[in-house]
Amino acid sequence: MIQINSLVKEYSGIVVLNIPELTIPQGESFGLVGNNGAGKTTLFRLILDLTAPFTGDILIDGLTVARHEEWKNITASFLDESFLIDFYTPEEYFVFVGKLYGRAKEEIDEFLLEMEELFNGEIMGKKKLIREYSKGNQKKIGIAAALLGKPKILILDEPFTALDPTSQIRLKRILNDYRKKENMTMLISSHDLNHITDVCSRIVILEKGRLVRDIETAGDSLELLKELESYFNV
Amino acid sequence: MITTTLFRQSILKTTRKKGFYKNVGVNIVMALFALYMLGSLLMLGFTLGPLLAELPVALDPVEILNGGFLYCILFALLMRYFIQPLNTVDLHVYQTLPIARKSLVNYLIYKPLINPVNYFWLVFLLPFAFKTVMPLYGSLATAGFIITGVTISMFDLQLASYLKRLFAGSLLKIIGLLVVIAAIICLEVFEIFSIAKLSTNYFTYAIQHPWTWIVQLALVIVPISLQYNYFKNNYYIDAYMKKDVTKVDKLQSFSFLERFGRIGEIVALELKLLMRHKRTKSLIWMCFVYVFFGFLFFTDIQTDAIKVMGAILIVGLMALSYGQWVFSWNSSHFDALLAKNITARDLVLANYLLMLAFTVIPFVLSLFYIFIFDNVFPYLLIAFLYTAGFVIPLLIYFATFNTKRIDLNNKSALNYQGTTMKNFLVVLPVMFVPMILHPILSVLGTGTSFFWIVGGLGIVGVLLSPLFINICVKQFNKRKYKMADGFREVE
Repeated sequence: MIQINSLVKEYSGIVVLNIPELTIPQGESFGLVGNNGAGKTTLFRLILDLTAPFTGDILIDGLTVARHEEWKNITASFLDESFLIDFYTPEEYFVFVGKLYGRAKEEIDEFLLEMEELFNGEIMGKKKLIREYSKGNQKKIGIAAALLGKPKILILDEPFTALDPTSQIRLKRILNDYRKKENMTMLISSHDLNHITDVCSRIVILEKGRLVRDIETAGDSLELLKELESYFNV
Repeated sequence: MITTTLFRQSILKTTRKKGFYKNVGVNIVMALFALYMLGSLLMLGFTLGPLLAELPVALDPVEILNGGFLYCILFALLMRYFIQPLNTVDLHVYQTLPIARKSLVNYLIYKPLINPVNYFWLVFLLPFAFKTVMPLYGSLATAGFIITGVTISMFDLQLASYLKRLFAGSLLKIIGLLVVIAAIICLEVFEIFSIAKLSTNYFTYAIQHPWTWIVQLALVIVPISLQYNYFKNNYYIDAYMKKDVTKVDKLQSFSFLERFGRIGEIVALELKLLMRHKRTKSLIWMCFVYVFFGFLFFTDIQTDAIKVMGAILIVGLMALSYGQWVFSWNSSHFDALLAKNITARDLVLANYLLMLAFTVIPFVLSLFYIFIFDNVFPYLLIAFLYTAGFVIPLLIYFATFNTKRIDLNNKSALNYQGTTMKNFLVVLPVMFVPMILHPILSVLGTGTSFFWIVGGLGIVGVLLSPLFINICVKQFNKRKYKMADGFREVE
């Protein structure tokens, strides 16, 4: 469970994020939408302790992320290319990440076979370093490596951009399957309202750092989509 | 018109860069240093003439100085090649705008010519011209002397730019250039052909005959037109973007580290980082060169304090050159290190162990000096203990203050991105403490007390390393946000 209490983030005196309270229970699929500069990535960075809050704190399973490191064990994420190690081959990178999360070699191999649908034959065995892959394929590597950790909490920033339509659809299926199988909490941000309503049952709209709408439907993605479209259609 | 816009934008690019104002203190120190250098040059310009006049040779001061001009050209060419940054624009930004290709190329070629810094040696030449050349050769030759000085600067400037563009940071070609220059110097040393004599004869004639000035100016056009030609063939960005496809089969995997768990994985990560990037790889090879410093520092003519310094350089430089930027090397994937299942302690400990290995390796390699020089072992041993006990934790501690991104995919072999004076100001004193302690302790005690005290301190430092590591972990946690922010800033 993720708990956010009176969280404020400032950059040189300007408030970019202000969330008085937010709770994300275990197993929820949580979508974050908002226009550019709404603070989506900042919120994810704060949850991952990549940047310090001005006031307030974030707790994962009751422990503040800034002062504890236990959460790292159960959390996996992919925000951008800085989560990749670009001078590794994908194979090396998967082993590296797998080892960090205590996966055995056989488990890693098994997992990579499952991912082959998403990889579409473009990732493994290419004898290339990650930096030589295209943006879309780098994204697939990053997302797969995050899932490899069997996390209880998965955080993805814009996972669908730069992917081709086939991969987008396959990724949605994989995310839904994993969430159900592992009772994983999933935090996803996206500009694509269609996609996010397909994978998330709760959607929060951020506007200029403030939480303006918190919509929850019991699995009715069409209704969700309609509500979102009416909000953004100004 | 467009050239002035480009010029203005290049100034904005410097002044709006993050950290430009933050480093004001360092910049002031650098400015003072530059002033001191200029002052010294000015003094030299006034005093060199009378000094040379007293030399017991048949030549007058101007002839002697002229003899050095060809060497100045070679030396300045090398200095410019290695130090002077290439004038560049973000070509892809401007390429799509309606700007004539010629304006961009002109800007790239001519901008350095109007930078006064590139003519700094006039600070020396002008006083020399008026004080020494004028009385001996008259005013026409004085003008010729100054014009020659300016032309030499322009020629070097353009040739260095051209070679730099042509070689594109290839280490092999740079070595080729060095070999050519070394060959020229050999000609002089073995008295096969004297460049100095040629230089004297030519320049002494040239400063007195205006037609040669025009020839010299015309020579400046050669590297300029070579550059035009270069840009004709290498204008499009994809030529630069062409990536070397790495031969993955040839990469080391350091799989023996796998059995050491998470720490082993991180050590392997750092080793792969070092071996898979040009800049860091040359850093590693340099360290094997450092080992040979012993032939300089351990000879009998050196004082004991120098031997102490030599030993510390041999044993410590590898750890130093890696350790100053121990976290900055990971700039491009620092977020991964923070957000994935790695604790701050894992990271600090792995780097501590790696640097310890980087101290053990040169220490062991340098043990062969025992068979060459007398009494060298105590020096090496205390250097090792001191580096392991104090220098490594200090390096880690202070590395947290480096928040400048280092982009290792930058292709140049001589890429000093991320380098700030701060590092040297902090770290160098640490390296020299034992050297300063040596004379003090030898006065206070017997000859050997220095070794016992510094060696003992080193052992205490090693024993206290768990404490030091804890302090470094705390410091890392305090500074990690600043580092992450800084490393995300792509220049």
